[in-house]
Amino acid sequence: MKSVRIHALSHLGSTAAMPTSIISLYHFVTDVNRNEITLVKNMKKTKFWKSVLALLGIIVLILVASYVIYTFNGVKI
Amino acid sequence: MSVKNKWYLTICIFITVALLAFAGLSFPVLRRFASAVVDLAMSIAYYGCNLFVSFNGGENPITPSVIQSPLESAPIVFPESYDVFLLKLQGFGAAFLSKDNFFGWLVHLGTNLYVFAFVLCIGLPIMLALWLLFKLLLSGYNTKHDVKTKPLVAWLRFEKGVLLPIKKFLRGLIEYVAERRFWRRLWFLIMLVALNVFTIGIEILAYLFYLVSSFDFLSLYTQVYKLLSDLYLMYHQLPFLLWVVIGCFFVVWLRKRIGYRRLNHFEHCNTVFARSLGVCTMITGNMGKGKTKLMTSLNLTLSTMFKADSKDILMQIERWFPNFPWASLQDVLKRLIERHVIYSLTTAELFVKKKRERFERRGDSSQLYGYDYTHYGLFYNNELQNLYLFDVLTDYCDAFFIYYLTKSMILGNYAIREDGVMQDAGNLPVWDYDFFKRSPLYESDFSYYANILDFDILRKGKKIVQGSKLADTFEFGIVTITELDKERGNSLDTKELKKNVEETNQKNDLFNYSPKMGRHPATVMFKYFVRFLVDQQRAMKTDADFREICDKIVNIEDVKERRLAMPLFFVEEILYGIIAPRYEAMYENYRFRRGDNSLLMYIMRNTLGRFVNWYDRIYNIFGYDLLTLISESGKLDGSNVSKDKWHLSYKKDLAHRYATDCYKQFFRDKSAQKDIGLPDYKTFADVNASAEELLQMNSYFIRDMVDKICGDKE
Repeated sequence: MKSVRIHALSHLGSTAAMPTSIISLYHFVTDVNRNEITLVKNMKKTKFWKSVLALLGIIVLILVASYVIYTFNGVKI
Repeated sequence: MSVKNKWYLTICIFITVALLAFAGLSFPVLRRFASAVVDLAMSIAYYGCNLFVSFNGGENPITPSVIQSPLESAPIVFPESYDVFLLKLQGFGAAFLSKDNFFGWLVHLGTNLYVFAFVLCIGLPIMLALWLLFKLLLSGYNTKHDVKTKPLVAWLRFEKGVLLPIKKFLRGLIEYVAERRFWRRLWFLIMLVALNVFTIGIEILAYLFYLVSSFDFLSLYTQVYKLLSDLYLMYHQLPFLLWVVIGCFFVVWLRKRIGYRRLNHFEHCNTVFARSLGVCTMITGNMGKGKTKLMTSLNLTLSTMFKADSKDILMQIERWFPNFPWASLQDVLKRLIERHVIYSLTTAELFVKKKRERFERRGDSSQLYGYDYTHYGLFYNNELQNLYLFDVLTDYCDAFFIYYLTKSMILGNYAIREDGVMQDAGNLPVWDYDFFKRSPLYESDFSYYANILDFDILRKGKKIVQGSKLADTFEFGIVTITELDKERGNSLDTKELKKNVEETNQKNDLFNYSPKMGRHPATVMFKYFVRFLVDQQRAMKTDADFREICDKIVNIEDVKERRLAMPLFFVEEILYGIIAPRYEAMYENYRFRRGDNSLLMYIMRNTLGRFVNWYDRIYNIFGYDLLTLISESGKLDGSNVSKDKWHLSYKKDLAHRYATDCYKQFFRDKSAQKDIGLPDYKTFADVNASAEELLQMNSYFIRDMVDKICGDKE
């Protein structure tokens, strides 16, 4: 599907030389998102989900500490 | 004093007055400070009296105030009395599981989190407005290349006229303060008092004086209570947001410290592996696996190892003869090395030999630089042998020559950059091989490169250059050869070569004698200062004789890429995960649609773009690859197989150390003679190649096929 779209757009040649309205119309009709037709990015391996887990872990720890302090503070003698 | 410096001085005085006012107006802190001073005085008096009473008997008349609770109790969680604390602890379990308590906590939490709701209320419309702005920004097309939009022009004028001078002034102020330790120390001291840190320190000291005299451990609870009260006071001295900022700075400082420590630890682990290598090591692996990278990394580690080993020898010999005037001998050695009188281990040994002759034959005691050998002796018994001073001096001079050599010890068939810095204050020089904190800005100031490996120096038989000046001069160092198989070949590659011919070839140059006998000229006090490191894709591509000299054939089995030695980086990882792909997509979209420069894009480039660059730079400093190495014996019979780890630190090993395309220039020179490139190559007209197109390939396969078909037809 992706390759067909690239092929379709490449038939138009250089879009920079075309009137803006035609390109917009073309995009509107074919629903071509510019990001879809770009090359697959060689993104760096990140530790996004691991980091999210670490952050959640710290938030949970803070909440537990807060609950412990609140409870200890509220104990009636 | 310049006008600018006068301004900076005025600001420094102003900051000092402001800090003093802040400290002076913190009455509860000052009261606690005064009370802590009294506690310390009483504890010291108690300690002194206790000493007196211990010797003379009687009762200590002093009652220390440090074990009493503070006059002003702070509203902290812990109760003032230990008994109340225990009672609270008993009721804690039931309260912890109580539903009412949990819902009460939720209400309490909601009240405290109100500030976040406030931030969200302000943040959401801003985010929405930004999103709409981007939509508008990326809605049109233009090719006004590098034309600035009106808002950007106005902003640049503001930036240049207002922001940049302020930035420059602030930077100058920071530099001014950085150069003057007085201000920094003064502010630090004032803040220590204002933030109640002094009080805590004095109280700890007061309690220690009391504790060593009384051994009253029951009073420990009161001290914990006082400490928490003091921390409460400290916390209330500054607004919460400022503590958040201070906390962030502390975390950044701490994680960097841990990161550098871990990198140094990894390098120590690498050294342990490097020490396990014998004279000759072969690294194998597929193309692009990182063989040369690993070999370069090994070279750097071995270089530092040689310096450390040679210094160990110096230190050991100095321990054996502690009263010998080593500094005088070193001065002479330094002069002789610099004048090129000593330029090898052989000449270093000759120097000692002459001294020995003068001393033994002529009785010239000045050869020992005033050493009182009649009193301290000429021998040292280490229970293995009775070492004679002049024998030991030979090793000392060899080791000092290796240690003092301010040149690369690597001989390579590709260039490696080293940056060890020798610091010499006129006594024993010390080497700084800090791989991780060097800035590339000063790279040219302390860089030096590997020696060009003339293969003739390793050939013990026939040589390419007859009568080569460099032949037979190699004593010690790290010989590193990339793609050795292309240089030496295996028995199949060299089967056409004859041993008894005039010209030099792989069969009559006796190259393998160098790694085989390399230890002999390079050994100083049982440590050998020579290594041969080679890499190639497959071990079998080199002749069996050389292969079997290698005590290890190291194969890179696995590479775990992009690890970070610095901990606590997860917030930035999340931000990068959110920002980087969106920024790159937006930037590409903008570059596709528009040729001009808008204000919004300018801000994005200088905020989000810079964040992405900063993230990459952090990885360049603290990043590393973890290599799993499988080593086996050079006999390739499956013996001595071991599994090791190698930490390939980016800052050490990828900091412009070598060029992976080191032989590029040869190809460039050839291409430069042509006026044709890839755009001029002919392309296929369809997915089915025509016969004419096939013939254009000049392929053996196609040619054979065409010959066969044509031949069959005939």
